[in-house]
Amino acid sequence: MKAKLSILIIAAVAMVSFTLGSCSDDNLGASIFDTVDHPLDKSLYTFPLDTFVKVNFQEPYNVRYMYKMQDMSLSSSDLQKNLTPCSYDKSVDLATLAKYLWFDIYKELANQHEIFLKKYSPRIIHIIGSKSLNVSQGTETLGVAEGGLKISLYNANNLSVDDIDMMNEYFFKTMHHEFGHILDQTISRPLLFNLLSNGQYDASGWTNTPDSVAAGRGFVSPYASSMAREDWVEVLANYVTRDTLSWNILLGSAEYEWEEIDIESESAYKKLITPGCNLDTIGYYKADKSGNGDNKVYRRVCVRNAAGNVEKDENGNPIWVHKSGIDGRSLILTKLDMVRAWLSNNYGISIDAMRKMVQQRTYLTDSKGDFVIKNGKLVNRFSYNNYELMNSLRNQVEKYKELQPKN
Amino acid sequence: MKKIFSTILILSTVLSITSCKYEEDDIWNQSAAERIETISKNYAETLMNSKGGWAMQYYPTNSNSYPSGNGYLLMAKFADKGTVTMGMKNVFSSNAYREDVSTWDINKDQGPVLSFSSYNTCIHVFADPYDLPFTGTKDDEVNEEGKGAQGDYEFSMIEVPTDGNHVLLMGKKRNSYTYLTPVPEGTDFKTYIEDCQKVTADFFPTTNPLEYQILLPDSTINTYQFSSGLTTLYPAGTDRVMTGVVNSYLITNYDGKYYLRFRDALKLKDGSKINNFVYNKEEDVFKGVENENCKIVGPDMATFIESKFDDGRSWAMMNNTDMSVKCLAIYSALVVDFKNILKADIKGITLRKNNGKLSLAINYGAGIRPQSVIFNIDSYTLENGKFSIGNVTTDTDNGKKILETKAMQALVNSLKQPNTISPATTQYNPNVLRLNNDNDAELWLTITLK
Repeated sequence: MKAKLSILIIAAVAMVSFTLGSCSDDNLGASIFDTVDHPLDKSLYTFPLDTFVKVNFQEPYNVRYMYKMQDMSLSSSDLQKNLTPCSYDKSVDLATLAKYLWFDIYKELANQHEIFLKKYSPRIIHIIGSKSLNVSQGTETLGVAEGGLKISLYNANNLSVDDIDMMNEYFFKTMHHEFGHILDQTISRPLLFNLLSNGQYDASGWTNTPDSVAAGRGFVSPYASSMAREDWVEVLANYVTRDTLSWNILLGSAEYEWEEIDIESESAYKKLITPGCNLDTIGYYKADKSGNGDNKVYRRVCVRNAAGNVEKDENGNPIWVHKSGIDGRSLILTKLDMVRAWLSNNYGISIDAMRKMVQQRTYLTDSKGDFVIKNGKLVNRFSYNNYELMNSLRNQVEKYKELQPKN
Repeated sequence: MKKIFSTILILSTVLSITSCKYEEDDIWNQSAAERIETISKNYAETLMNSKGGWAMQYYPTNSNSYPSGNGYLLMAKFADKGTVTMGMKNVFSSNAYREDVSTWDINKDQGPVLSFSSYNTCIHVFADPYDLPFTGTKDDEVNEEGKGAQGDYEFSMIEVPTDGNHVLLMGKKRNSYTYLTPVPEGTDFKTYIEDCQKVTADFFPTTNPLEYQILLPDSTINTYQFSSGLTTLYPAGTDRVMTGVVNSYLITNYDGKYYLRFRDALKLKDGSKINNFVYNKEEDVFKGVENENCKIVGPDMATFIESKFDDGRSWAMMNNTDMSVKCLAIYSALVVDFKNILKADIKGITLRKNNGKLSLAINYGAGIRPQSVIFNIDSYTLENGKFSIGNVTTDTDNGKKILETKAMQALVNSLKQPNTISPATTQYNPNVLRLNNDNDAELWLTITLK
């Protein structure tokens, strides 16, 4: 699985203005920019979506939902990247989902409601259809927040409402992650947070860090271990979008210390696996990504003898040890508490209420409000009952077709 | 330091004054923004005015390598509701016809820019960053190269004449040119593409591929791997590796004629350029549009035939070969005679060279052990477009019996007489040849390179 990268670009634009006196002609004429407010053209194929985003993003929050590629040079600062636009249909899906799982939730929970989004939401949400691959690093940019003004989301053409994990990874988590950056840039996170994992951050090595290893070091994701500001918003985004089962697995992994060791090959690893063996001590195979035969296994740290065999306690269990002295679980929960307090104190938002609302909008609940579980998994609300929810969201766009002239 | 500072200060002052001194009067009636708006509107009208749409000669990049340097024929119909319907059939669509609808806009950049602004599987597939499995690139999610074909989908509009007979676009990122010609109203995109592809394959076959020459007024250019669509062009008499340049081309139909347009213009020594060649059916030749003294010509017939003989190849007349009624009667009689003598069916008759000697073989039998009756030809003439053979003999008893038949005698006699030899369809594809008996216009047959 490609390592995922989410980048914050803080555009510090230094404007140097040279005020030169006008020479002789004070009549500057009409603006070279188009200042006319054009009504939406009802004959256009895109009129329904254009109307939806005008009504739901532009008019209430002064946000522009940019789904067409208007200038590829604006879509990435790196012109060497090959990016393609989003299809119309996927743009419709993502617009309705952004409203449903992002804007509507903040609007309802923030203490200033609409005002909150007017003040803090990005001015532009830019949707890109293709992935944004960082070839030299072997990573992929999921989203970019630029100077609090613009959030770009990538890979929209592969949006699949059947795949909650994919939607969480690429869109929902990324929306909360990038918006978290904007809120963090507006009211800074507590300085104390930066000290919690001080010395543990690795701006380049995170791409090769397995989830469990990162968790054991007190990070909710490998990317969180890249730097403090990413750690901060990853805590927010992961807590809000991960379901309870997934969050508890993360905390479970974080209770232990993990180590990476070299292994000759995948076949050598498979020979170690026997029925009933303890995978935590043998380790989990991590496929070689470099192509250099750099095969790894990551496993929980325990007491081993000189031959490398596991020493067991009187009950026959491995003796887990914490060499680093880091209690990953406590650290993650401490970080979460700080995010919780910061959101509540500064923005009036309960992160727990937000999480509950996001989860309830994502997964099916019964009449009592309890989550429905099938085959050990939560049920995708978007695709449930023949895509009833997703179709109702799409209808919020489609309904504007009625305003269009009939052919 | 002080001196430098003083100099800069003085210069700045002088320049500031100078800039104030001369003021230009308005030389246009509209502001820059208004002019771009007007031009964009006109350009959009031109694109929409072709009711049948446009044939779009699309080159993802100007590179020398497959697949991004090759040309692809895309079709596009621009509608006033902001949609563009596109069609294509090529390796990017697994050689199946594909059609898709998306949006288009003309953006006002430094000039009008045609943007295919939402994803369309018929153009953005050339711009996606994903690996292309059909190139043999390992499509590895972990180690994606991030390149794809690197094509453009935003184009500066370079030429948009008001009569709408073409549009020339230039990709914003890769700077490769895309040439559009209108197609008649009601044109079925799939039919149009398949026709152009068939014509291309008929002219420049990929099986038994050939090389050609481009005759320019001042020089001759040889081609290498022309049929692949991505060809190397090099001056005749020079070393291809040292002097060759890679170019590519597409054939389209405009106004009922087939045009071959190179991606990169050919430069003549007088400084002029030539991009387009149009097929003249009467003369069976692609002639330059910009300069009709430029021609693309097929291989020299005699040299081509001899080279194939030398390669051990043969020319065959099969049971289903195209031939005149009179020739068919001879062939049919030979089939009957042959069956009476050898109790076997003729599979075909071939001309080939063995040890430098031309021979004619009647092939029969089937499966893994086909057999032949061989006839030796003591001499042959192949020059100035004429072909004839000398005496025919055979060493076997069955061969002698066959040679004595009336049908075989008629066939041999016909070949002994002067025959005009020419490509059956076009000079560009002499893989199928036609032999016309100069003494009897009703006696002709075709032979195919095997």
